[in-house]
Amino acid sequence: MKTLIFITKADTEECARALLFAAGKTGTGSAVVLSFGEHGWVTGLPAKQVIQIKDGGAVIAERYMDTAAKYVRELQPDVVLMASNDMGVELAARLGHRFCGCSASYVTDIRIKEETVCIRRRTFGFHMECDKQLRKLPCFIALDKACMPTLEGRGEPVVVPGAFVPPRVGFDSCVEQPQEEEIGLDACENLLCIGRGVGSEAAARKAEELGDALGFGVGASRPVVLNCWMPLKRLVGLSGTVVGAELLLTLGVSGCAAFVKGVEKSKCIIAVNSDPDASIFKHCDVGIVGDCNAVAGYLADNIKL
Amino acid sequence: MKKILACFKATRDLENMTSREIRAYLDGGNDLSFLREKIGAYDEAALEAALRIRDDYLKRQLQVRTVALTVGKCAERFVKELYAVGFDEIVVVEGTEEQSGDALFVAAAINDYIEEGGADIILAGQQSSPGENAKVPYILAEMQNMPCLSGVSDVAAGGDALQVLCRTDAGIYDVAVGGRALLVVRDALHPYLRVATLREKLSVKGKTESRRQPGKTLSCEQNEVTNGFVFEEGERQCIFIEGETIEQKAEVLLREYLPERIVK
Repeated sequence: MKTLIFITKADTEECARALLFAAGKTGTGSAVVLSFGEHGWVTGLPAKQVIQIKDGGAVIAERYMDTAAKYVRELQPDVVLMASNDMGVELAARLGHRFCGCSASYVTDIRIKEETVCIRRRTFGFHMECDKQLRKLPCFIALDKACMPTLEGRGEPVVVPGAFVPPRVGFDSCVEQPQEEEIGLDACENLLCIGRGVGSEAAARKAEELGDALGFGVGASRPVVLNCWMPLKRLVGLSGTVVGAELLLTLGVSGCAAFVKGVEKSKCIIAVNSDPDASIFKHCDVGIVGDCNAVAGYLADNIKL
Repeated sequence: MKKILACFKATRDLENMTSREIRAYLDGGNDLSFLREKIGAYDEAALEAALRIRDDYLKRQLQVRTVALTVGKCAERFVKELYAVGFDEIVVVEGTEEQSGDALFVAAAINDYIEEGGADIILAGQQSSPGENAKVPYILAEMQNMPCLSGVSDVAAGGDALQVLCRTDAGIYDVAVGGRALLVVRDALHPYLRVATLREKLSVKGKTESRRQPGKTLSCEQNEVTNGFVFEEGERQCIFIEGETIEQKAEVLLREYLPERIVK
């Protein structure tokens, strides 16, 4: 199978190498990488060819659709791989339709069986995975975050500059806002995660102060972010940062599937929740049934003693 | 007159499903009726965004019509609720449960509606349960050949162009949209649909949805075949910290589980 990989501005080298590993599973000896952005590391990837599209504009899928389509038309891949980030999910679905092929996002595994692309993807509120056969080529597949091993080693791909195709449809203006500060939750050894159970923005702030005092990274579950008690960058779970901490302390987190799947690689999970039936207690190692704010208050008062 | 179309899906609330319930579902029950029915989380945010755009247009004394559309089953209470919070029309395109989970079928059904009735601004949630396909709005954008914005977090229609805030993992963008556009809503600043007052609810008592048949019945089915589901419970054995008071429990946590972790 001939495989093309899309790398976007949001992707890291680790992500690119995971896509290359997946490309290997499709039977490709060496893949072609189409890189949107200014990643210096792409020229050292163990790939056959790197097409670099240096475009400094907004990283919105709509701007890249026609460029991506141009290279799909020219290179005629059987499988196109990308990450399940905001741009990847959109590109996969739209290109799948545009090229009358198949598409899938949140894919955790890929293999080729009797000339057919077989995938496993997250579904059912992220509680389960389903096995699917994609019977029509080309297949546009957005791979789930952190689910694949990475392809190690340096390569010497042929590096060629790519051409950006201005989109046929567009917007009146598009201004990038300053980025929120990078937190690097995925690199934190210990993490405190704040859930809706804390009850208020003020309580979330106190829990954040506790996290700082403990020297832990501070994350939040989706309801906390949706309530604007914490910024989006703090979101932990499949739709935010996937973490694998040595210790994860959750305060008032209920434990929905998308959260649990995003923290399951953590070695020790301690949960505090007032509801003894909360789902989080089925996915943690140590639990306290009780008021999470009282526990946070006690810890804050006593860690310095 | 501007027409705003917000697409939504009524789903079962899978968030707190237990492992036993998932097992029972997989073992042949295929019945989720015991779970609470709700509007998909991202779709709910899309519906609220549609109303916020409408509010802005009305403030500027512009004429606007808001339509909420769903494909497949829709409980009467959702129809009433959506009328009560201010939608002018609720459209239900008929379809089976399987069809309402088929991204191509749903996108084609919405496309047919737009081809007939038109729409200037279309809003939809990025994805919904149980499929989590994240395809419908994007296929629709291709069918309509209209600009599509993902990761929509906030919208305002204060000036000539629609101001859209997109929060994606690659950056945060303020986008001005002058013409037609499809806005794909995800983690929105206003995630919940406003609550109707009793008076508003009473005022729409007799209203019912407009029902229509799907046009072209497309389906992903023949090209994407599902072979089965995999459920790994992955549950951990939780040790509960006991104590007479919450302070006693917190003391055990601090003394036995945290001391080595705390960065002095």
